[in-house]
Amino acid sequence: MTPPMDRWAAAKDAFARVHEAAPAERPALLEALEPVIRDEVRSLLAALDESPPMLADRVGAPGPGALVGPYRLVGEIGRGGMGTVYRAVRADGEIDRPLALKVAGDRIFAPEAERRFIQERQILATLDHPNIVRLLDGGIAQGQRYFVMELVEGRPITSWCVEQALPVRERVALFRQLCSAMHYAHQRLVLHRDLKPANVLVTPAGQVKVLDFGIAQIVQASTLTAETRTVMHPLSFACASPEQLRGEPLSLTSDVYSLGTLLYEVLTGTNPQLREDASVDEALRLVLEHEPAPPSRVNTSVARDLDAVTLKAIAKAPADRYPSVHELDTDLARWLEGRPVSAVPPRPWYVLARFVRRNKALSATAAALVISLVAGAVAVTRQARIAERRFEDARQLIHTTIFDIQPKLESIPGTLELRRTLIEQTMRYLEAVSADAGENVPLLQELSSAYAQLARVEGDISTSTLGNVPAAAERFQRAKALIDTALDIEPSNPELLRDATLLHSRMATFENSQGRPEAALVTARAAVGYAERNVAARRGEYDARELRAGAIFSQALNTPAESWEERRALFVRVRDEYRALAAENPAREPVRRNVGIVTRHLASIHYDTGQAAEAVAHATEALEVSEATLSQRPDDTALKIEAATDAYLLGMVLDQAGRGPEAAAPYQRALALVEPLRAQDGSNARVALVLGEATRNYAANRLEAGDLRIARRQAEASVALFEALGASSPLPQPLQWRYASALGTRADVDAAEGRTRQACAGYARARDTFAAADRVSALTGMVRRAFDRVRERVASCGA
Amino acid sequence: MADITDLLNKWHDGDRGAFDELVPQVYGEMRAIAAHLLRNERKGHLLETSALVHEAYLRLVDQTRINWSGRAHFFGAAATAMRRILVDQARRRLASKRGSGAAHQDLDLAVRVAVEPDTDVLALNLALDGLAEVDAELARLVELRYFAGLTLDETADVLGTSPQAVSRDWTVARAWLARRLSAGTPGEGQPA
Repeated sequence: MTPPMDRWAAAKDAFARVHEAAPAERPALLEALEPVIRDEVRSLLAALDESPPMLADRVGAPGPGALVGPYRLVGEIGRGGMGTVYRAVRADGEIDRPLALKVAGDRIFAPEAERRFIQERQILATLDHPNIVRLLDGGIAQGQRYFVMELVEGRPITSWCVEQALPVRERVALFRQLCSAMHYAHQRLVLHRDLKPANVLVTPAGQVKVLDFGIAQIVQASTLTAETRTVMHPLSFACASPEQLRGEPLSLTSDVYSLGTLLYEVLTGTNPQLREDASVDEALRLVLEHEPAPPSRVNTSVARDLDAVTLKAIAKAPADRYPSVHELDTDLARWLEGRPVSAVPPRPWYVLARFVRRNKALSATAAALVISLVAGAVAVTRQARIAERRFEDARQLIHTTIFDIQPKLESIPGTLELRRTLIEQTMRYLEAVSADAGENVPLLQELSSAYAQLARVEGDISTSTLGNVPAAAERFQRAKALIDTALDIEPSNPELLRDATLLHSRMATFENSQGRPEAALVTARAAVGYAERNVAARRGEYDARELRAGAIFSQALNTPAESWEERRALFVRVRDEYRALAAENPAREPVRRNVGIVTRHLASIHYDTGQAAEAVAHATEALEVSEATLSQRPDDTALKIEAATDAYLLGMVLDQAGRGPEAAAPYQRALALVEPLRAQDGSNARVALVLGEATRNYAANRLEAGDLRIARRQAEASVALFEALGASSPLPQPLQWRYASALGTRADVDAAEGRTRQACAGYARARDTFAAADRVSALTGMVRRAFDRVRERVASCGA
Repeated sequence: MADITDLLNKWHDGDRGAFDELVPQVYGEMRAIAAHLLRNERKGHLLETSALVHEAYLRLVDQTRINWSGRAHFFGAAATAMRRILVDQARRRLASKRGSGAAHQDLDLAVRVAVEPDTDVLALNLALDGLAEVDAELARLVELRYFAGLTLDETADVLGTSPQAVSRDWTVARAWLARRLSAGTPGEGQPA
């Protein structure tokens, strides 16, 4: 008797021999064994044969030699996510070449995996392309799903390029085969999602074959994004897109990204985002944040245009990439033919735009740095000949300076000087480019927006003014001329209509602030006309209706006070429209803010006509809305100004309603909000205006309460603010009136203190200041009453 | 805590104790990696054990200081760690089904590694202990193939044998385990 352990060794050995033998030979082999061993082998063979398929699945995939349907497995090629792939042959010799057979793996038990295995087979069945591995057969054998594909014996595309020492041109030509395959797959709405060198092989004949659609996904035709998020494949860092690693929904551009990383590696021999020694966290960071060096920096024989193509394909933001594989392929074809590519090498302002976008909270110091960079970029551009400049460049610069940097600087106190420099730099560039615009509609549109934006920052009283009013008027005219030219070419282009609406609304506000109410009303009505055309062109979409509400708002603002009923009706209509829009999309903050702003205007017009009860109700609601918005973004300058405006307005209407003691609290709130802003940025006109009004009205309120000390201090502060505001350029008409009112209030304090002579001098100055404003005869409402009052006082002084 | 690469090299140099230190460390790290990888996953997605093992290798081992056999050693340790993870997970899930394991719910989610119905892992674990008494080498092979999901070639690397031999032994092991599992009770089915 052999000892037990040796017996087991012998049984193992015998089992292997019998199991591998053809069934016909088995009895003879078994017969030749020692009885104990023979029983053991029989028992094991029986266990293996009789074990239900489930158990076979669980314990292991079939090994080489096994039959799966009509195929005999020859060897294991590898284990993919969804199963094991074998080299196999037809057992009946019907096909003599070797094939690849994939079996739903022994490691997959979840229904999800089963579903994906079936899906891979279905996807392959829909793809018939010379550069995609072909599905040949499939079925279920012994309870196991399998399918058969052509066997691709080749090298990963990256290794092939190195081994064959292919020159760059041939690498690009080879890569286009891959593009062709992926374009074809995308047309059938199949996303590969796992493109990497191991899945892109090149056969000895130089033919590219894409393999392993194991985690491929059929995308929704409607959205062109995958219905589910990515499956994490830990070893696929090398080519995974940022959105894939973040687990976000994927789209065709995610495959474009993976193709880009492959192109990078094909061109340079190195992966753009994988360092051998990187930990998982580092690897993640590399993919999400690291901007890879241009390929030419790694391989000097790569042309600059190929740099641009590659970097565009692997842009971090999907929107910056080629929208489809086809565009990428087209650019590669252009390059091969020696034509210019569509991808533009990154320009300084592109880098700048990225910088600004990333640094959400731009500090004043960082802003200064940005300005110096822009100045540098413009200087470089001016040296180039204008005719050779691409319009794309213009768009980039305008977008960066006007739309990315300016608004950001606007909410940072103390940046007026910086913004002025930025505008000067940008203007020089705009002048040069618009001379060449011709009938290029997108460029005309872009230039128009740029001029409008410039006009806004230079002249509009509703934001921090740069105090260059004549320049602003000129900019508006340029903007209007450019957009009109564009609309002559494309009369129902919704983007142009949108821009025209915004431009005319802003222009109306501007004209009104310049004391030209008739012109303002005409312009505001024109804005509503464009907005209506836009609503029609956009078939009533939300955005278009929001824009129209804005235009009507502007019309209401520019409707003269004499047409009070019409003005009130317009405000009510706008408020109701904004309320409806806010209900439709509660997350949209600007709409909610506008409900508050329109309500403030309703309060204000009722105040002007002395309808105190209505005014108090509207003002209370307006302050509630603006405080709620401010509480969400407590550091926002514009929101603080809005809340302060609502607060002092509530104070004023309470005073008017004879509820003076209740008014002190809202006045103090207004001061608390804007006094710190004034300290930070003394040249912000809007802050000065709000503070001037708040202090003047608070002074009047305190005077009424008999608190002469505070009344004096507030009245002096108010006068000083308006005087400072008028020091640089003459005050626009509405400010002139407010300044006059402040002078009147200070005179009231003098009178209360018994300084009659000083009071009389003050009233006279106030009257003259009112009268210095144009069209004194057209004064209405509270302003008219204030004027009349001051005149009475002057008269009684003289008496 | 000793560096995993150092431990692997010590083990390679014949320090058997290094293996015992290695497994618990790899166990902890692999759970952390699984949690990391699954953090942003949707519910219902499972992580392949082989993917996890390979990931752990890339992450835990300093590849500049390890040779080819060190890699095999790592897979060996990882397979043992993986087996423990799966068995612990199965036990916890069983416990929570019986109503006593609610506190482990979070841990369970963190290591949601692809595996069959839990009781089968426990049964297989037990059967594998039985196999180890008969043929430790075969049990080791199952651990590598089944729990770590290694390919034939990788398994052969770890065991220092050929893929053909692995393939042959794999069949024997499957047969032995199938017999044990279908017999149901441990202790039976030992070779005569």
